[in-house]
Amino acid sequence: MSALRALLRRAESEAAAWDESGLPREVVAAAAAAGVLAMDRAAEHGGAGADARETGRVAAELGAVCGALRSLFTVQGMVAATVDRWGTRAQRARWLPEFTAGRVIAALAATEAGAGSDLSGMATRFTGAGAHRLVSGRELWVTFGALADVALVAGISEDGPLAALVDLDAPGVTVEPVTGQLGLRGARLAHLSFDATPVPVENLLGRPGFGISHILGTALDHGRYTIAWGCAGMARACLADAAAHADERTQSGTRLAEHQSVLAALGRTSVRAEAAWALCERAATDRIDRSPDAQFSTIAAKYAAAEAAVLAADTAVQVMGAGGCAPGSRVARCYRDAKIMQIIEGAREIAEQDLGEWALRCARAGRSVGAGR
Amino acid sequence: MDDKGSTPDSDLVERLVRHFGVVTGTAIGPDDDYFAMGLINSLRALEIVTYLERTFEVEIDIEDLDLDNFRTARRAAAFVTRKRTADSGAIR
Repeated sequence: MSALRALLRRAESEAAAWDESGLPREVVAAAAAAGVLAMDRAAEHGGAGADARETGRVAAELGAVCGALRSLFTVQGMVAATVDRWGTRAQRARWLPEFTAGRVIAALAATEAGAGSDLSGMATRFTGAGAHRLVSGRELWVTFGALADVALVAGISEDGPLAALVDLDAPGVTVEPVTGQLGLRGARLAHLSFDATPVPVENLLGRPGFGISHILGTALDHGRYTIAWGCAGMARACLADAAAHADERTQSGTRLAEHQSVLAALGRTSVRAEAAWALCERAATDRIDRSPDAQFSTIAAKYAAAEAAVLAADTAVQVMGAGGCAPGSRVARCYRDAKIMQIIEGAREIAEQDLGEWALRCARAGRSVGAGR
Repeated sequence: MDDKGSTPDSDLVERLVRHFGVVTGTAIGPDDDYFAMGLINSLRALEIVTYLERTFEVEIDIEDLDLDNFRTARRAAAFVTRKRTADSGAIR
């Protein structure tokens, strides 16, 4: 997969620039050419037919070099997975080849002013009947919202929660690019507003009533999975940078790695990074097995990997000192990006409650968490 | 009698009553609508789909997305029974 190697090399050298000015659209074409966009879709739809483990490992490689590029991989992958899971045959045929080829960039719009990790407060509305629905609402912090051609939007309709692919060139759409946020600065974030935007009925996904629980639920689950691996890759990369620096850097005749406190920090970080990686592998196994536990093991992986990325980036910046803080420093970028990963696709505290419920449930069923699979 | 032509096996209904009891943390009966009782959040709703697919080797797609297929243990048992009958009919 040499096109992937070329993409990774390019991302490694340009990630700092993309962090300043945003990932350019032509990189989407490069990612498609490398065969990674929605790579877990079937070959008949332009995918690579990759399984969850292969997909996760690519997310880790991307996450190690550029959080924005990994985010592109995540959003394109999650929307494609959702259309594949709940779309009609016609919808799959129409959209999936566009997503895998990068001709259509997808975004997921699921955060509102009054509804973040808690989706029940959603105010976006679908109205009307006949050939078109009208969607109205305002969605915040949409990853790649400034570059996307369509957004998967969930909202409330007369018949219950509804989800649809909304064309961002349609009337009534306002795209406000966001800059200067803490992290993911390369990921072309935008706030999206819809004012009676027409949505053709053939763009409605699944059935009314299932737009949040099943349609959005599928997207978020897939997103958490590739974010988990991206964070595991980021954690390993930061640890490697910190260790390499500690090994090389000498101050007053002593290598940094000879200081017990530095060595211990590397040790602490490595255990968390590898534990996160192992949880990602477990989630991959569950997903390949189509286990009903997979949603929970994915949440556990994302939770642990985001935490490991935060710790590893912190360790790396500390060990590398001023060099770690310098403009264009990878570990500084990871330091800012990693924190976002504890908030995006379900905040840390929501994950803890979900995992607490999982622990309760395993106890009720007389098995230990992580066993019985 | 099920109005859709398949009476679920009582062992199957009992198995699903036990499973959904664990999922919801509530003692439920075969005809209790755990959706109406507010016991199903989105994680659980999606998990029910995965559980039925994996356990009973059926494919649940957009045509099956009808709460009437999932809202009680007896309905889920009838749904699974219908799906399995339809699937084996297609194979043979």
